[in-house]
Amino acid sequence: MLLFSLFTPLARKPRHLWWGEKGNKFGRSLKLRPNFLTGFIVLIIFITISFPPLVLANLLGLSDLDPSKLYGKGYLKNETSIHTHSPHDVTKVKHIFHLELKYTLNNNLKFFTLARIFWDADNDIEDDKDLESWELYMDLRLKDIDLRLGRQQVVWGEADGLRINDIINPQDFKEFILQDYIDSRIPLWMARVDYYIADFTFEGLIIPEFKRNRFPRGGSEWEFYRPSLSPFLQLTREDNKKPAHRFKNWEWGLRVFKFIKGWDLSVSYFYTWDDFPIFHRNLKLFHHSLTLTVELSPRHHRFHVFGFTYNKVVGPLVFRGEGGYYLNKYLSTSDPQDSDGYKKRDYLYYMLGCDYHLFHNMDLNLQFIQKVISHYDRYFSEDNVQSSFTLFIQTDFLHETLKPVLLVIYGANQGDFWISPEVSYDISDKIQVVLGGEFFEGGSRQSFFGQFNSNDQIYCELKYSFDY
Amino acid sequence: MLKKWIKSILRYLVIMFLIYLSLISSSLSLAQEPSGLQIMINEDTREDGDDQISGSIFHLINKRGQKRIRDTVRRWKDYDGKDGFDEKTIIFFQSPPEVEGTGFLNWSYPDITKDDDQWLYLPALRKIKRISASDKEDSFMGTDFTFDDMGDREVEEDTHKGISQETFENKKCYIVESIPKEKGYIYSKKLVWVIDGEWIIPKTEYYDRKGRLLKHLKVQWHKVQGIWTWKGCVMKNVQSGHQTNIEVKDTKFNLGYKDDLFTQRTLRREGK
Repeated sequence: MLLFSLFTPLARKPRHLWWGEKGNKFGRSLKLRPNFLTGFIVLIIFITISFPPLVLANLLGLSDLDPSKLYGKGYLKNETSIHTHSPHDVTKVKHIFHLELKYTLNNNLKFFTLARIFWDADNDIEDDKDLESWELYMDLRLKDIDLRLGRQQVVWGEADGLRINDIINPQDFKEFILQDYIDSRIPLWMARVDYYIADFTFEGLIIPEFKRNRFPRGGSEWEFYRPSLSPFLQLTREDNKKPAHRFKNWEWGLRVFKFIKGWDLSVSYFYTWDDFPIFHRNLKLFHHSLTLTVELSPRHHRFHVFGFTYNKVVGPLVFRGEGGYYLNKYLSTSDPQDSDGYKKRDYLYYMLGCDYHLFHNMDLNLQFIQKVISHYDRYFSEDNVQSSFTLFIQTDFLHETLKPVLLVIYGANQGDFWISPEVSYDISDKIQVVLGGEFFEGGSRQSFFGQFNSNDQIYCELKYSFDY
Repeated sequence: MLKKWIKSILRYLVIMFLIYLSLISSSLSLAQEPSGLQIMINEDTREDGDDQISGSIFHLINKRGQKRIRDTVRRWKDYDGKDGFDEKTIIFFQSPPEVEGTGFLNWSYPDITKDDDQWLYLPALRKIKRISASDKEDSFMGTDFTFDDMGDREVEEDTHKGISQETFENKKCYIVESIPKEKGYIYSKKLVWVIDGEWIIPKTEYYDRKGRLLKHLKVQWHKVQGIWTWKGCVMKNVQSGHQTNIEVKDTKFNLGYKDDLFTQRTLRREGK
């Protein structure tokens, strides 16, 4: 894998305008050349894996601290995928180095950091290589209070594979929704406080940092569908403006949960910024050229989410549910009589799910999801009621070394769906190989999954894990 | 004539006395041998402390000799019916890296008709999942132990019959046949070796639904703080050739664990 990393396959893709037709996909020529920066990074990784924690402690300036209290783990992974349709071009060759370090000073104080380095020779992200300290926080435990300060992810909700109340962190869509959420959630600087009293748990969040969702750049195969423009229409776009760094712009949330007579219950409130921008529209008509210019100004707006979750076990079944009432959410409209292109609405977003243990080591998970917009307007780009279903099946063989899983998500409104089968095999405790596929079918070019109908692919992953 | 008569009377008296003595002694010895049920009750009620912490290293070895390792820390507290609980257990996995940070919480109840409540913390999801305890027949983390093997199966869940005795490792041992009352259970029966007086189990044989030997367990015991506890064990599946060795280390009892240790709070705290 080290040699493979040094001689990284490179593919050249044409650049496209941010707005406009997607353009044609070109056949790719693969070139192999030694990459010294890549090799240097690989060398650092090799040293990190090979030497005891004391080396890392020195590198991180922790040499005065007790290295026996430092625990580290991580992995090296290669992800490669190719299209299933001719000419079977390579869609992704990605190498990831993931490292986690935990320093436990004592029972009440712990430090944690997580860093990921990736380099991708065949993707559309802004840089081929990205080094980012994803998470960095401190855990402080007091008698009835737990405090976590720093850059972190916080996960709310019972739903699997979708985010109803799990909207604390923005998301990276550069690979659509194919990445696990643990990898696609963007950590934020925040304070999380858990307060335990009687059998209740109160969780509070204060988030001074704003980050928007990250989207695939123009020309990426995962770029979301946009309709072509009339030749009489010109489009200009302003830069996306972030909310100013002020106390009044901070996000905050509160969640309360309790276990009562076999039920896990929670209620929550989150006051947040929409991580998706809403495009404020301004139309200008130029008579001399008979052109209409549309000025789009992406803006972020705040809204409220009142949430609840539950779960209950009945025999071999686990019933789960989650709901979020979104208050004052801004929705885009194409109403020609609307001057600015958006309207404020409320909507209910909920999930009803069931986990069923079929038989020996096989689990089935079903979810029904629905979103209902109040005071619906026919010019909204979304349907009034949107429904979808998810099915997840997993099992294992050979003492949990061989694990096949199948995920299917079906959009009932457009009849489009996503099928993702995968098989993983643990060659040893440290080495794992994965084979899988992503298939998008049904619907139309405008539908959520149907727009990626030509992106069907199969993939292979090889992962080496380590710890010390 | 009289002498002859007296001699015959005495002879009969001696014979009667000997018969009486043998009857008495046999009834006494029968009364001293416990029944299969009593043996298992003695085993179940053996002193095991009020709470416990221990580290366990699971070595999973396939028939080709390839080995995988699971390292865990287990904390346990006996409630003995207090607050409506039988016992609570919390386990964290420390290796391999793929499962490090995974936590498992189990609450069990005295009523055997009431399922345990179980939760699993998955670091890859950063959340706690509620799971069904009905899958007690499933393998525990890929080992040769099921969840039921790992847990404290209640005496009343099986029918027990003492079938024989033998000397095992220089100690008198009862062999008890335990047949599950539940139809379709993973085992048709178990043969359990129980050491007389100490009431510990050094050996168990598990038979599949067709009555064939499926696996056997051999346990090494030692005393910690005067309490019998596992030092190690080997569970071998004779049909597949796979085996699981467990090393138990750093066992301590009666640490005064508080109730809040066995809650979802601990799963959240110990996880990321």
